[in-house]
Amino acid sequence: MKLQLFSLGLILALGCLISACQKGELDPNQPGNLVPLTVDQDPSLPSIAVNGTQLHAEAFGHPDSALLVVIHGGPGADYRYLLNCKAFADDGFRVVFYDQRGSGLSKRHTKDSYNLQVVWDDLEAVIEHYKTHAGQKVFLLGHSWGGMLATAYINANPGKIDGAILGEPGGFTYAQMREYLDRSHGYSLFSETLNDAVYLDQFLSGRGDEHEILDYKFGLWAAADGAKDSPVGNEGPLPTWRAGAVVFDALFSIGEKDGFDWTTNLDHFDTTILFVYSENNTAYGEAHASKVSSAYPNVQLFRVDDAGHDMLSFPRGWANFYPVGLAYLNSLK
Amino acid sequence: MKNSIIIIIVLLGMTVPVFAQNINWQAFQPEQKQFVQIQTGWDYGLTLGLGYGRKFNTRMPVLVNIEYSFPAGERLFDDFKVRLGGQVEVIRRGGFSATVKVYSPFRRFENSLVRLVNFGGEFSGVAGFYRKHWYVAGEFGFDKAIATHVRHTPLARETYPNARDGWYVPTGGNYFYGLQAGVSFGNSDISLKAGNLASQGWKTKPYVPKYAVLAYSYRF
Repeated sequence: MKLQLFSLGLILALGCLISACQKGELDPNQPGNLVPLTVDQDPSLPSIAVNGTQLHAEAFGHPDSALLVVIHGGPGADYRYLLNCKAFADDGFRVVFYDQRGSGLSKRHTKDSYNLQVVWDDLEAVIEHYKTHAGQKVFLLGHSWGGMLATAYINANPGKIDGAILGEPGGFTYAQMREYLDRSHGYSLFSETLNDAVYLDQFLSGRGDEHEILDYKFGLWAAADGAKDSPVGNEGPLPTWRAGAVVFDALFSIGEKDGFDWTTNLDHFDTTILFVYSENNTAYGEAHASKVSSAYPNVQLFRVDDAGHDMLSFPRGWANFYPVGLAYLNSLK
Repeated sequence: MKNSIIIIIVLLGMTVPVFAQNINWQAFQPEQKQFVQIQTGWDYGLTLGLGYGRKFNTRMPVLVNIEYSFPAGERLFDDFKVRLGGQVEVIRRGGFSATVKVYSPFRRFENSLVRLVNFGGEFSGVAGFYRKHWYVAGEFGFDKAIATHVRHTPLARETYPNARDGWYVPTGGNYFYGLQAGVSFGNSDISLKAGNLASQGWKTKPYVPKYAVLAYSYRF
């Protein structure tokens, strides 16, 4: 008898709950509910159509000035956190921002369509899209994964780039990257940050093509980098538009499966690069910066004081970096 | 949504609430009708849980229980899970036994961007060989996040001002499958279960796609 009463009460309670939920029920996969619309869903966003996709992109500065293509991290982040770099436009550069394929507000694709070659081809297509004349110099500014992507591109096309600023790329080989990731995500098992990141998995999950809920969850997960106990030393959470969960998963899986080595042809790139790392990212440091950057024949190594991994985003790091970055670019302009 | 409601009601109609942990039916003495439990392990995080259950002498043996667990962290009470439900032994042939479990998890999660409150439904089956002092079994189940209330913080609104707060239905689900084993002595049971997780559709998986939970139960 007690069991039947208990069950009846449970059924009634659940019925009331479901009824209450149904009144204002929202679909997590409805575009716009949890994450912003992408360029193919919102025509008012600035975009370019290149290489068979539509990228969220914009450019600042005189179109004929030397190009500075800003490449964001991730994979799966977006360029919102690098908008400080707009300042280079006031100092004589044509600054190009784009969200990589499947990232930020750029168009989403299926997981099996992503590969490293298409990411490099997108970068080349972006450069060609904004280039106005043959003699226009092209510089790359890549942060984190963006620095890895820039190096992969230079390794394949050493004659096409006139200089590069690289900010704490994880590594140019799989082993270097793995080493860095193990340190940068080395949270204590008892930490709030780690347990927040993984506890979320029982609340939100999606099938492979459900970009809205997957991107939303990935964005919540990525917030861990802004936590106080994160080794990367940021001052807080980064400004972003929308994470790209599927492209992250796809490219990361490819890296894990096939490995990579983007240093094989760097000795043909004899232009000096500016390699920056931060004072507060304890997972990176001078030792890792020296090891990673040594693949280039000529390196200007610079430590950005009073900043963490995202040293280009927060005021103190940006103030320390900008004069050095500008002097470097001007020296090659 | 309608399918979810039907499934839940049908399952609850079987009068089975939930219990996450493993039970050795054969270790229960006739006079033992209740148990308390403490458990720890990896259950979407490093967790600690407490539970209470009661056995009913119906045509098929039924256990009803409630369980509270929470993950480690500086803020111990912002994230938690309460499971209410039970299990019924549906088959017993000699040492072989099969048990059906139905849970109704209530979960809460909070970080700097969002607060989530979720009502779920968890259905699983366990089958294996049981003796008075030990058992070993396999389990397979599905944990559906049926309805999740999302409330964004001001910080989240700096990222996306138009994010909509409210009840999202459904918000996913995960399969789980693995092995469990236990030993019983006196009034006590010690059990261990471990296995893998995969998200619905089998195309994605949780950040840590494993679970492993160690439990101690005291029957009285």
